[in-house]
Amino acid sequence: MSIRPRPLSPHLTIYRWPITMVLSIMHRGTGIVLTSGLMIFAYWLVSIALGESYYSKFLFLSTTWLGSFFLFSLSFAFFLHFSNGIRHLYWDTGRGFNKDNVELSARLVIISTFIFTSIFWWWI
Amino acid sequence: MKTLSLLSLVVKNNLVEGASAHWWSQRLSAFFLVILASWFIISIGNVADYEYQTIKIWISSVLNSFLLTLLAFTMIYHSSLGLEVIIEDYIHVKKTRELLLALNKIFHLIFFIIIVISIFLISTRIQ
Repeated sequence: MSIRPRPLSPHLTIYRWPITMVLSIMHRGTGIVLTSGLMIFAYWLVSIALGESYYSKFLFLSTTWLGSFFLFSLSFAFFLHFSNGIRHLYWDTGRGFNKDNVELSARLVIISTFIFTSIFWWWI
Repeated sequence: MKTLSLLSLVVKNNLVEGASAHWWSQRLSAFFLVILASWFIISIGNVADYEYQTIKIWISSVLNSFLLTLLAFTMIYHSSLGLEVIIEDYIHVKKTRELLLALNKIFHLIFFIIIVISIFLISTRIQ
């Protein structure tokens, strides 16, 4: 096998981004965000295990401007990954692959992400 | 001939080993996460307040601590599978890739241990 660089076809920067592509990239992006969110989940449990004063610190941090920003972003990432994940599971059954269907489900994912995130913060 | 050499390349570099198992583990964990994560959000959203005692009592119930451990396991498993794919996609140097894949497993395992110990401590310690 030669390691000589191969010519590239036109790539990301050339095209107008279709909604399906945006979601595909965001699914991976939110996945990474949620992996780092595991740290907040672990910190929450560790603080409770350590005792009340540590938990109060956690609660305080989560109400600071930066803390609530992190939690809000995390919830948004979660609901997007959740909705798009269901879309992926639906695809895995071999359905919903034609162009119209794929674009419709992409719109549904974005709408449901905003709805879930709003309901969650209004309700909690 | 071309197909054959491509195939031998794939086999030589162990690119297919466990690929279909990985695919299934990813989907299964995703499916269970839909259920477990929904349970967690609805259940934790339903507690009266976020005072220390309230949360401690919520976690201490047998059902909740069991489901929370299951959620943690599934989440961490799903996360490590996902990161594995990302590392395999973008890291082309074999040594670095293998190092990162190993670190990925170790970090996720450490997270799981920390979480399990915490849940155990919360639900067994009487205050």
